[in-house]
Amino acid sequence: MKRTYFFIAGGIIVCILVGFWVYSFLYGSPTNDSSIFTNLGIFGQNNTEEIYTPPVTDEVSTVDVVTEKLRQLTTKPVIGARIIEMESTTIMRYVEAGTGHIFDIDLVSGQEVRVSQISVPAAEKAVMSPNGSYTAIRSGLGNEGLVTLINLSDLTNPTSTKLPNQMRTFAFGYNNELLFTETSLGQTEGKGYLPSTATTRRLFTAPFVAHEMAWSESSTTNHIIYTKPAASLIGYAYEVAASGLKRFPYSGFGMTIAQSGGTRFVGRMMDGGYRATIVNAAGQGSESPAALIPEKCVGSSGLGKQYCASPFELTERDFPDTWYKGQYISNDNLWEINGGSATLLAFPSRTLGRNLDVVDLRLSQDGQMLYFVNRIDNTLWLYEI
Amino acid sequence: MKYLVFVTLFFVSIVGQAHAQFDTGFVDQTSGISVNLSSTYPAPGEIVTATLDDYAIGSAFSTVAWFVNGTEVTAAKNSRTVTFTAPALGEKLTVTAKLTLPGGLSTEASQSISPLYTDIIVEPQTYTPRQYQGRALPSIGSLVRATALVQDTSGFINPAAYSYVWKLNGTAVGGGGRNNGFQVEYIVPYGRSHTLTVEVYDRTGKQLTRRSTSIQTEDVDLVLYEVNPLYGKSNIAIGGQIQFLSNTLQLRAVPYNLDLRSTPQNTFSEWQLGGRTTISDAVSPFDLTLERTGQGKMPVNFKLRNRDALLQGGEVSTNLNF
Repeated sequence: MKRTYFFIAGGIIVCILVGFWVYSFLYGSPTNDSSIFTNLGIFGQNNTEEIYTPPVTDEVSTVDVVTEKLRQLTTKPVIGARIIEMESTTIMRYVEAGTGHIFDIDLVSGQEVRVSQISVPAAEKAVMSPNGSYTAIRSGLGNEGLVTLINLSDLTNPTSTKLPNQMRTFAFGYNNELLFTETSLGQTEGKGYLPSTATTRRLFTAPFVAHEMAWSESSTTNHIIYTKPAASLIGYAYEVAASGLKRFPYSGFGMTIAQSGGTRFVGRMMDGGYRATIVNAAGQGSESPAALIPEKCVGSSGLGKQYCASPFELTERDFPDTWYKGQYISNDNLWEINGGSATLLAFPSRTLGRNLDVVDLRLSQDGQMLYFVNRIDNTLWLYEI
Repeated sequence: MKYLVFVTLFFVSIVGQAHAQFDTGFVDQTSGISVNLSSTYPAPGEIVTATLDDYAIGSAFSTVAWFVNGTEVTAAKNSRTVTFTAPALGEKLTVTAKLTLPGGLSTEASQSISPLYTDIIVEPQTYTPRQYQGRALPSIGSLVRATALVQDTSGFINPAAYSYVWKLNGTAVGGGGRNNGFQVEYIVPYGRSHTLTVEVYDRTGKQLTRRSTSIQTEDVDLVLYEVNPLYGKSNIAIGGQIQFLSNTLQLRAVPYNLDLRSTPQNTFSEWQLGGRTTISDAVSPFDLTLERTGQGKMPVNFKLRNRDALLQGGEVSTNLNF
């Protein structure tokens, strides 16, 4: 080939490329399937492209509430949740960690809405009243542990009140009363605050401060105060009776207690490892058929069943200390306990391929739904029984 | 001469032992037995073991029968011990050992118990985060407050009506008993464990109850956590590795079981990054904020030592992958 032809061919290619670049620069890239690169708008071709404008809609966050029996409801970290029966539907109300914002998930339609934008800085723990009207949120800011009470009676205008008490433990009980403990001068005082009347009453005084509470939501069951658990120290418990504190007849290393639905769960170190005793309303105790942890159990009033989350075996030597510190992560399954037998309901590590370390396990009022927080990432989960 | 003394002492000791073995069994066959309990002041429902002590009379061919509240425990026939459960609060139980000698003579001894709840609540004054559900543990040199709660059928006894003697490893705390002294504070002694005992006496000097507990001494346990600026400290402790994927990473070292009397002035703390000491925040020396500038792997260490109690301290480390 002659050199001249080579330069002519190269020049033509360069001109075509420059022309294409100019066209692309002026008219942009194709915006839909009907656009073609060869439509250069010459030789009578239609060069008018319709501009696509996406429809503007108010986006409503929707949560999958029907697909699987065991499902994750939030990706946000949650510090407290409760299922509330409304007139027309059932909602899951939860509080977001850090902000204290309150959200409702409609468990029928799956729609999620924020019902309170009142911010509680460094929100770390929240509890909700049984009727859903009140939410108490503790802030982790500073060392005071102050609690903000949010009134959701009127969802169009939520209001908040900063409570003056430095609450160590708190929960809502019977009649939507906020039950809490305060410590000072080497003793613990238990109190009840009725939001509807803004009145506080004293429930008990205990001569020690390192305590946890197994609050009762019933008017017929006593609250229990017990010493903070430790694997190397003996724990004791006391019922809050009308006549004062009465020794609860269980003690032991690493002892923890929970109660709900008239059932009490007492966990402690036994000869064969950490085990739980299930104490019925009549006070009769029976050894649990699985390695249960009281904080991962819930009782159902009237159904005679209990539900627990627990691993297949619990061989951790310093339990519960290492679990509280986050050094031991439980790989929980969901169990139904009925009398002396345990039935496996869900096996998340197999079905989901991920571990769930369950805390704040609760049962819906109709006994059809279990819900809990996964301690690993604080996400909210639901299991349909 | 010294051999004579040695031989004399040897024979005297042999004769003494022989005398102890053969003599007492035939001297007085109608007395000298007693019943010892594994716990003299048991709690309701506690398992108690009673042991027959017949050393004074020797009863090689005797028969032994055990009675609990007058009812014979047939399973313990001819056994030197019997195990039973302490009765409920307010109830009394009498355990009796009846020894029948080969000649037909019999003798018996009894012990009675009236269980009380005697709880020693141990509250070490060491650090744990406010959200931590577990109890603080005692470290050497730290302060511990102990509370004795004694309960009978009418509830907690009025401590003002009693005298409390606290003993730490057998030595009375504060030199002796104190009226209304149901609480005591002490410094954790050296050693891996210590024993705390409380004895309660009424105004007549009669001992109401006694309880001992063995308490393990723990080290300061440093644990690393990631801190989210919005959500706070993670629930899950950092293990040997941490992935540093974002632009910044905030770490917090939590000194479980550090004496609460520690202050920044008497505490030495230090963060090390890749073996080099970093300048830590004077206001919050337990926090370290890192910014990512590249990629690689680097160890992070945190050291802590209480200058007033040098055994209180420790070190924790992890590897950053960034």
